[in-house]
Amino acid sequence: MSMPWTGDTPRATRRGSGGHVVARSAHGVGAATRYRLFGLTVSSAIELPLPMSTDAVDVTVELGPADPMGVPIVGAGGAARFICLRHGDDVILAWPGASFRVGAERVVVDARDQELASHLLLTVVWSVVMSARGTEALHGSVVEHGGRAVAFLGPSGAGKSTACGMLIELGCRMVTDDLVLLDGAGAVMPGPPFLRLRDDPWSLLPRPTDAGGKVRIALPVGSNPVPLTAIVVMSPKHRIPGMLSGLAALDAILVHSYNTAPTHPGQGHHRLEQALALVERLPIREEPPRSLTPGRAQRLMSEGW
Amino acid sequence: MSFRVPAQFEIHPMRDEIVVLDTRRDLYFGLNGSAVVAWEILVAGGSVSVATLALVERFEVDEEIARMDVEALVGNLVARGLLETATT
Repeated sequence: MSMPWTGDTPRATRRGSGGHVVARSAHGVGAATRYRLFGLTVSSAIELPLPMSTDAVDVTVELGPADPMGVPIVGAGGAARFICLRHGDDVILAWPGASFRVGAERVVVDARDQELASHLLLTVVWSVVMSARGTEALHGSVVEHGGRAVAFLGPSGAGKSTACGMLIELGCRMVTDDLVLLDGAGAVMPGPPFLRLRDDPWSLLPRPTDAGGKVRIALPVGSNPVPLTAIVVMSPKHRIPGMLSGLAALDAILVHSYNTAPTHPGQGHHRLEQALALVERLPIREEPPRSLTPGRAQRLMSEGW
Repeated sequence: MSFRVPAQFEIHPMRDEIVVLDTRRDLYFGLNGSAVVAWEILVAGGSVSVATLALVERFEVDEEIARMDVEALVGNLVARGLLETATT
């Protein structure tokens, strides 16, 4: 099941003179490698568990200082215990042990822990990169079957990744986990090639967890966007299965926006327009958290959700 | 008295509901039920009285109650900046 580019086990890190992470690479210390991530080519100085790319670089990830200085962004970081600041055109995101200076085409990483830096870069930090590029991410997991993708949205612990794991066992292919990004045509961009679960249901042995405390299950993802054909919202608000429409559907999608901090101008507008387009175009189903059984998932999938 | 929607708002009809997006503040407002009927009349230049009669006809409610509902809605929309008094 493992793909050659994935790394499920924690990697050792080395510190540079400034305390930054220095990547170990076949090309030499600190050499940049090109990866593919959500349809973009990323040249990164830190090692990432992503497929390689040979395309022109869209975003550069560099090592350097990202001091937490700037104007606080209201509404950001409170519950997540991180600092979010505006510094010129960039956004500073700072956790204990890792800080990032985030722009649309360049991310500066200032971290002592490569695993933590990699985990944050592929999740929260990337949602801010995409906001800077005018695209708003949703919080969910997506699988596809026969070229038709279904997205599971919901808060952490709602069972999104578990539902996807169940569907993968039924023959679906993973598209993305955690961060859901759509292209201009409403298709889901392929994310990192792994599913993150609290436990590995396919392993008899305990597996090491990533910096986010979950086990990474390496899975193949395609390289092309997959048209989104249905959304399933898994939230404690939805105790009875059924269909959502109108304002209820709009609220259900918007509440699962990934980057809810006002980090960039026009962000709320982009988010609303995206949600409106989804509500107008797609069936949106509500399911109680952790309620899907394999039998029900198979039936809903055969009915087109 | 007639009303208009300030330029910063975008209106998105959704079947029998309406979403109004405040593009300056990145907020959105949802209208449903009788509020949609009254809104459509008010933003088309209709008065509170016309909107009241529309509610009476559509929802078979007492005219006094309908007027109170429309006036409360207008007060709410004006307070939130979604409607302003048209000067011409």
